[in-house]
Amino acid sequence: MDIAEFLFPNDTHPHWTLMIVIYPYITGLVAGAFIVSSTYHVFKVEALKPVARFSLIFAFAFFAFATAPLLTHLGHPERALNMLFTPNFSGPSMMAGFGYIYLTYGLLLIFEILFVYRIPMIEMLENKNTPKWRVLIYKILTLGSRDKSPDSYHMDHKVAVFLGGLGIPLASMLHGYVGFIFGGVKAVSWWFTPLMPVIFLLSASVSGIAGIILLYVLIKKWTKTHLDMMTVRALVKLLWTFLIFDFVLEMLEIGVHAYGGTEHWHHIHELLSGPLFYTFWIGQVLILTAIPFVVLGFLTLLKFSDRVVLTLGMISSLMLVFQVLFMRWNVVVGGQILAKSERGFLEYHPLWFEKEGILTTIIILSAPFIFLWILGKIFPLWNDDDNYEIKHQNDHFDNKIHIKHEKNDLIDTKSIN
Amino acid sequence: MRHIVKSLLIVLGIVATIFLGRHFLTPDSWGKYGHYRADYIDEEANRSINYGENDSCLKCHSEVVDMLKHGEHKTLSCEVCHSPLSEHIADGKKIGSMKVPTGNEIDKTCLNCHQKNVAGRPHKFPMIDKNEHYKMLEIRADHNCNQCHTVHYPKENINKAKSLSRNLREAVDNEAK
Ligand code: HEC
Ligand code: HEC
Ligand code: HEC
Ligand code: HEC
Repeated sequence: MDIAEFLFPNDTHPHWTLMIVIYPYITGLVAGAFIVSSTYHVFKVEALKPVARFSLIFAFAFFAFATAPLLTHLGHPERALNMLFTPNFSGPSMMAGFGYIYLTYGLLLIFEILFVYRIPMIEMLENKNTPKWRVLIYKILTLGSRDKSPDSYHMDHKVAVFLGGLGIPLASMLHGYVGFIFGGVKAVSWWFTPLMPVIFLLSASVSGIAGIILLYVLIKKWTKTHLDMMTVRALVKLLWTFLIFDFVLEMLEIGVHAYGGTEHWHHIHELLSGPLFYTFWIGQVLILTAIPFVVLGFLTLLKFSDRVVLTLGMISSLMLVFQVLFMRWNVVVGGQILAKSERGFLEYHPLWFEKEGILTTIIILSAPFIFLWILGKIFPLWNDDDNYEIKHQNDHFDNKIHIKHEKNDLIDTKSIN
Repeated sequence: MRHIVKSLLIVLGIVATIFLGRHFLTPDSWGKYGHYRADYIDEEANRSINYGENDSCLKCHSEVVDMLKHGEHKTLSCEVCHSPLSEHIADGKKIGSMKVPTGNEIDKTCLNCHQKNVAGRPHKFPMIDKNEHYKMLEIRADHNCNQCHTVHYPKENINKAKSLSRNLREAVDNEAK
């Protein structure tokens, strides 16, 4: 009948709102995109070269807004510094830990981008047609360097590979840690499992790869530039691989909960068959995982024409991007609506115009895309872009084009080795 | 390769800034007694008081305070069901109205403490389930608790009614003898 029946006075509504739903979502996209970029930079999967730079910039665009929901939720964003400056190491300063990993990873990401883009930036800097504001930015970002020698290129390459390699554990830490933040909450039986960091990490990779596929294809179609089908096929395979592990572990987790059947299971069971029935079983599992799972499996195992791969790959990616958002909702909100009395559920209905409501969520989720667009003006997102641009702008300097071509060949063969 | 050296210097610079920032932004009294700002103790001690306790109502609402003192709710604070004194009185004058629960709010107020399903209450604490309670009393579900229980002295009327009916029965019994 009413609210008072099973709710404790201090446990009447979830405190972690939509903001905390999108915080792991955005962080996950960062980690996933970085993994795509490192797959090329570190593991030299050539098929992913066309999206390697793009995924770095993509990761950075989302990285820049990963803490935006947290700071909005905090209300007093400046107080986040208190936590970072005076962490309680003897006690549970979980979020401070996230802050340190986030900052370290951010530095790494920025320098990885600067090293990958240094020579293209110098080239654009020396190009007379580059607008002044960009020249100024390039002057700062190249740290005053004008060195385009093959030696310096190779050094940059080594540094980028090193940072990319170091970035893989760090990106995994970044998102594994988010899972840890939830998995470490003893009081919420729906979260309290050591599988949490792993599941978060895998779903992060799924969302990141799916996001890259979506944007790669959309941008390429939109700008009518060359779309590399090898890349799309490779990404589809990568996506399916991660989805397998992600899905299997998510189901195993429920299996362990159910088979273990602790005193909490009856509550989780009620949760999954009650308030979360539509968002978990129907939404997340049946529609948004099972369908893309089968489709991607077919795309990976059988031979299909480019058009089929492109269309089905896009649809599956779109579904998976939402699957992960659903997963975040089911975890974050699901865990909190379990009443502490274990006798029922709290309610959470986000409003459009509240401080942490739907509108704020939409704004925060669109911000990375706008930022990505701005970054795209500074850092050419595609490998062919800058060469193409410079070639055209230098049309009247015939010999320069010549030199440029030679150098490009040199770089290309070396980087393949 | 100067850019590599420069990059390293920038990273060092950032790390140094963080430590400097930490140095300047950590409050002076931090850690004096423990993992907190020691000045905080004084600041808290000097905060204006929000809750006045029941004696603070005595001057103006003596009859209610008195009533509460004699009933089963003698251990309760007025401000649990109403609101803090500071929203009502400043410098001995009324500045705002107190919250007074009405209608279904009253039921919710009572059930916050008396709801049967709330775990963790002492063994002997009187608890009811609204549906069962009303079924036992044979009344409709839209009654509010204060229609029978005087909120400030919950069993006053009930006890009176009981003793009345007891007296009546005795009188009838005596008559019969
Ligand atoms: C158990 C909760 C509870 C406590 C404790 C309580 N009250 Fe009340 N009080 C109510 C409710 C509910 C009403 C309104 C309903 C009613 O009067 O039946 C009310 C009404 C009043 C009113 C009358 C308001 C009006 O407009 O009629 C006054 C005055 C008042 N309370 C003062 C006090 C004071 C003073 C104390 C402490 C000595 C106190 N109350 C303690 C619940 C409480
Ligand atoms: C300085 C005198 C004074 C003190 C102290 C005081 N009140 Fe009042 N209270 C008033 C006056 C005056 C009214 C208005 C009475 C009226 O309108 O009939 C009032 C009204 C109320 C009402 C009815 C709702 C309203 O605002 O009209 C409640 C409930 C109440 N007081 C509770 C309390 C409680 C509980 C305390 C102690 C924590 C308290 N009061 C302390 C003077 C006081
Ligand atoms: C803040 C908690 C609290 C609230 C709110 C509260 N009560 Fe009580 N109530 C108590 C306590 C404590 C006792 C005394 C229990 C005891 O004697 O062990 C009590 C006793 C009673 C009793 C006497 C039970 C008995 O058999 O001795 C009744 C009846 C009662 N309350 C009704 C109400 C009603 C009606 C309301 C709503 C207006 C209400 N209570 C609101 C805490 C509360
Ligand atoms: C129709 C009148 C009526 C209404 C309405 C009513 N009660 Fe009662 N209540 C009683 C009577 C009569 C008793 C005493 C029963 C007894 O002693 O056998 C009682 C007893 C209680 C007791 C003590 C139970 C115990 O085990 O000792 C509590 C607590 C209580 N009521 C709370 C409430 C609350 C809370 C509400 C509102 C949701 C409410 N009552 C509504 C008439 C009522």
